[in-house]
Amino acid sequence: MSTVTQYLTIWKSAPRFRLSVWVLSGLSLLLIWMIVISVGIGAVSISPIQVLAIVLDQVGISTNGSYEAVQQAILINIRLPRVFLAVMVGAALAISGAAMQGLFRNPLADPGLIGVSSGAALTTAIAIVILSTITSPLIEFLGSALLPIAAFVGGISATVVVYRLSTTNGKTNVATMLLAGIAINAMAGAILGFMIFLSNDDQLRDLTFWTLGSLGGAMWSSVWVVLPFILAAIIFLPRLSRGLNAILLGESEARHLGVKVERLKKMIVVFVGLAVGAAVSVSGMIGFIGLVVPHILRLWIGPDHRFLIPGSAILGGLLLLSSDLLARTIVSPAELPIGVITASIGAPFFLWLLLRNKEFGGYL
Amino acid sequence: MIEAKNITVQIGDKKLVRDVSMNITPGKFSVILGKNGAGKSTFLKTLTGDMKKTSGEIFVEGRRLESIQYQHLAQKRAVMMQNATLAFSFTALEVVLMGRTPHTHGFETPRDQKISRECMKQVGVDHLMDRSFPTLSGGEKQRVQFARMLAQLWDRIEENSSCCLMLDEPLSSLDLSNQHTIMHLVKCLSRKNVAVLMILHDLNLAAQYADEINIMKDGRTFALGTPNDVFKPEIIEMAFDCPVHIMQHPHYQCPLVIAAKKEEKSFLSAV
Repeated sequence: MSTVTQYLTIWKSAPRFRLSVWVLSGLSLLLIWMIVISVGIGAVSISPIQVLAIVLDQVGISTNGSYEAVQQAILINIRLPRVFLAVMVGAALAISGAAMQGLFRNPLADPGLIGVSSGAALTTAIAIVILSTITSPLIEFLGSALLPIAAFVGGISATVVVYRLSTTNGKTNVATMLLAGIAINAMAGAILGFMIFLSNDDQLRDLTFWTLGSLGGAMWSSVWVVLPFILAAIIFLPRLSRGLNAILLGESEARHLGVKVERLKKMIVVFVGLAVGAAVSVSGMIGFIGLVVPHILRLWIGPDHRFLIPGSAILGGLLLLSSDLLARTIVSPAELPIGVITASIGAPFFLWLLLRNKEFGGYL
Repeated sequence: MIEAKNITVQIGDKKLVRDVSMNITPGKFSVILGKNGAGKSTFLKTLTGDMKKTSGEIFVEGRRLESIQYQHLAQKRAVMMQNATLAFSFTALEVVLMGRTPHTHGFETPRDQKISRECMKQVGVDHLMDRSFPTLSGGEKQRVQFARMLAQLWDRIEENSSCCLMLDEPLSSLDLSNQHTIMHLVKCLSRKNVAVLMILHDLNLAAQYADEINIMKDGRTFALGTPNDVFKPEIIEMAFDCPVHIMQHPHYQCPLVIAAKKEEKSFLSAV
């Protein structure tokens, strides 16, 4: 009984803890609601009750819900994989952003700093401009998987290069990592520019759309392929939260609090590299989420990674899902690039938070 | 508790620490003094494991420092480094709660909360509890960090079992009254089975509170002993390149050091 009272005292006396619990619960409910709503919206509309009936029938629980076969086909084959992919990619980008900002002790860091997005962009450009023009059995065999594979390989390779450059004798220097990331990004940018120079008009259009991101090609197969990488980040990054909190005081300070700092850094780079590499390979480059979602949450619930990291996953999923819903509906039957939407929803909200917090002094 | 034997640290061809040995034991308040660049911080960082030593050995409770896991070490040794920075807006209480990291997994328990609040009260920063840490003044930050050290070692202090506190200039931003509050607290801790090692610049604070003083010069131990042993005009003058007068403290059994005028060319005459 006394323990209950004690925890109740914490609950009462720690407003930020209370706020964080409410915000995370609220966001989770909102995400579930948004998933149900957005699978029903489109050229063929499906009501939430029909959605429930179709899903239950699909998993073997018979219902008497009335729906048409076309609704079922659209929901199962088109809408659901797309919605899941949006949530996963959004979660992966945002959770990675939160972890990177903690690791670099800098709220302006984003997952791209370790080179993963620019590496992916570079190999995708090579795939679009050069590989797709040559005929070889391997490339024919890969077919539509060529671009995702190229992006994933490029993203991971760039991350490995950045990590290696900044690590000597098993110790990673975060400042060197930042600079190495900038150098690798610049180099990738230069080669990307050269690819653009070589490309014809169609290739240029493909490339440009890729860099603005899209979830248009979502299928169950892409969901299953990226799931393990993103799930690994969502499961394991939150376990590093306490260490990340301590690292904000400084690396030595964290070590003196018992944190295995080198292991922590390595794990963050591995999980972020894999999750962002997987996300970029199926959706192209979607900016803004990784930088701004953790930032928005930090302004809202404070910098504690134990709430910030899972919260970023939820809010990132929610924001990308909402953006994708807009991207595919407002100019229907055409689709807007999703990067356009993420930035135009996120930026004003972010500015509003900044202005609201300005009067309290700190904005970090 | 912590035994440093013949520590030498060399970076490039520059020897920062030469053959320094020190024994930090529970119940003793040890202080390192010395000029800027004498190797004090380097020596401390070697003891904490932040810097690699070129030669020598460090033992913690008879075991080699390198063989001990960070978490085990953190449960009985707290280290307060110079100018720790924190750009993210944790509250002061959240910073102190971080001191509980080696003791609890996941979220802090009510006990951690109670300990942290008590530590803040002891240091006199309980009124800052809900303030955002980056908005605090330099002195306030330093005191909150000190409360974090206290929270880290609380269990050991309560059980009266041995533990170690290492502080690199913990008073540099504090006013007169707070300097003595912290020194007094540290002195009390050292009487409760805590081994204390502190780097200081104020000779009189060291004279008043320390049990053992190690004066370093050019990376070496220049003098080692009780305040009355080492506070001799010739030792202090040599170690600090500054003429001094030393007298007996009017109220306490300790020396009192007053710097004398330096007989050197003034800057103005060079112009």
